[in-house]
Amino acid sequence: MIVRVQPGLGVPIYLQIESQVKQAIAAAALKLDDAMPSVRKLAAELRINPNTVARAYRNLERDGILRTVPGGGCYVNSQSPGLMKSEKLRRLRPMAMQLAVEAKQLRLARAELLQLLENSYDNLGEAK
Amino acid sequence: MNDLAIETHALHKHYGDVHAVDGLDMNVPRGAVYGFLGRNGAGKTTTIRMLAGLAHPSRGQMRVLGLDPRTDSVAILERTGLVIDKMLIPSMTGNDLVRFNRGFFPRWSDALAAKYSEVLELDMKRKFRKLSTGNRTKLCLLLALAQGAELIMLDEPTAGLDPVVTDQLLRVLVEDVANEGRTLFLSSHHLSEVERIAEWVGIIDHGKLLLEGRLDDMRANFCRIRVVGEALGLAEWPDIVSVNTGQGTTEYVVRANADALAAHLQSQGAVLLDVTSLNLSEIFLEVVGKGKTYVPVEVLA
Amino acid sequence: MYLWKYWRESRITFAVALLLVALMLWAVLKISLGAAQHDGQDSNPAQIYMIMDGILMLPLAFLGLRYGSFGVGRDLGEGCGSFVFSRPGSRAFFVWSDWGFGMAQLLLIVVAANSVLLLAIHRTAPGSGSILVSGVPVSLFSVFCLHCTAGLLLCGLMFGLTYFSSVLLKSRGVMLSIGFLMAYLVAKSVVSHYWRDVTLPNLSLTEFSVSPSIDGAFAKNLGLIIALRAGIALLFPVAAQLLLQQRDID
Repeated sequence: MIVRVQPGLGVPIYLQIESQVKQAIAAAALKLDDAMPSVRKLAAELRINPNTVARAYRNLERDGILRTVPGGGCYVNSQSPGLMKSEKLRRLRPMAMQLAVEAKQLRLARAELLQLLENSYDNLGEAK
Repeated sequence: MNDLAIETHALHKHYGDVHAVDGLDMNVPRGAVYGFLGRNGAGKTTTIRMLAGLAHPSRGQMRVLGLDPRTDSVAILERTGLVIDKMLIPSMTGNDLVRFNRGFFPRWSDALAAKYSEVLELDMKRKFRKLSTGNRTKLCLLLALAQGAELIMLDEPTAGLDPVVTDQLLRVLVEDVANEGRTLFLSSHHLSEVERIAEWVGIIDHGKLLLEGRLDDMRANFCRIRVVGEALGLAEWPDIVSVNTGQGTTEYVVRANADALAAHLQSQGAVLLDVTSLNLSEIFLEVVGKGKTYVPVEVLA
Repeated sequence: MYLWKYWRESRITFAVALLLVALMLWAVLKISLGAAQHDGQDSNPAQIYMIMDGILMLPLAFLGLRYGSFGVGRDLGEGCGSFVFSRPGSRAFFVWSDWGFGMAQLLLIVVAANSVLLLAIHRTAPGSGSILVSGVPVSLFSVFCLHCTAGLLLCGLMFGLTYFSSVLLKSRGVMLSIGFLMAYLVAKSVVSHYWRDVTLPNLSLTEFSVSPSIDGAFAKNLGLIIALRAGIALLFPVAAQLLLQQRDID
């Protein structure tokens, strides 16, 4: 199952779906031109409102991560550089902040933190 | 054609001194999944019974599918699937009940009834009084769904159900109601389930609607801001729902504009710990729960 | 189908009632031969009718009572009132469907029972096309119709009373109805014992059919009496409908 959600978290479900799809693509579980499950199917399987799924798909399409084909169907898009660099940085900043806070709290050295980050990045395979 | 499936204005239901419904203003959009949330005794069941024409309101107006239940309940009931009470005719089997129900609804589908009996794993040859609670609820739902109704109203459908049956029910509701563009109105206090499938939410307490809106908006807007220090307060901030102090921190729960308040607090020199969104359960407790009250204290600059 | 539900509830009672009528028929066929030989011309059809009517009165009353316990009153008693009344249909629809179907079955039973009676008379006093009612010959067929009407009115009265009580008091409604029946019968005999010149009206119309007190008044009052009783019997389902329309269903 590509996407799993937890409704009880503070994070809205549609955001969870979006981040999981991105994660799947980054880890090459989802490849270019792969078909996404239909809104109806995914909603039924996850027991969530179809409009929530639709919203996530719309957002992903807006960001260029998915594309819809006339006649229905959502497919994985080539990661188009639709976003400006400033926007990408803006989105990643909170996560970076959190990482920094944790590392500082655990008294992890700066160099080791950078190494950790590099390892994670490399483990995802070929960057798309 | 109205775009609201259900609406009430200043709806009241008094039983002597008890105000079961006390000025309810509710709007349920067509095609939505609307979670009608409240504690036991908040007035959920009474409201649904009035909408179904089973109880007479003391005062106020209501419209279901654009019609007044006081005068046009037959027309409403032909297009509405109901599960209230979860008590069917005890001496009838599932098949008997299908036969009984069929004649009332022009859009009845035997094929759908057969499909649901399979999906929900129901023994249609068993008398109703011999069925377990879970199976009774499932049978009630089967009858409501095979009707081909455009509006489904369920009163606490998952009450007393085990997790497996609850899951089956949710799947059916998503697949065959939400996906088909029908309106689903369900009352519950099982917030985790409602949180999954509801798009709209209305929170009722003591017969009044305290909060109504899109669930996504609520979850985006309701936030908890935690700052260091216990000696802080806030003279006037309109969106604060509650303030809680303890263990060296102060928590502000706001219903909107969290960023603005956070910025304001920081500008006052407060150290921000975090700003988190609340889930539905937390929102519910904040809006309905007693114990936390807004304490106006002067800001110490 | 709503009437099908009523049929499910009433079919056993209906079958049993018809079975008892069949039993009556068998008894008549077997016994009346002997009676005819025994009594000869002494057998008075009027007397036989009176006896049989008296025997039939209580069973018919209880039959009407039983039928009154079916329908929406039973549903309310079993806790599925919310389900039944949330089916699309006016309160009037449910009440009059119950009433109409129940009365139709009762009509059949009453006619069947009285047909057997007619047969009994015919066999004990063959050739008599009429009964002497206070010296006035009345055709057997008229008496038959009168007794059918009487039986139906009795059933209708008990049916209506029980139906209304069931709607009012749910499961305790039947008790109320039985209580009324017993109380009325007791009151009737008490009144006739202590106040000889006063009699409470009979639950069936026997007094008119076989032994009216005054000659001319027989035909004149009969129509009025029948209309009055029919009116009372009809009041109950009307009251039940009004009660259901005005009250919350729970």
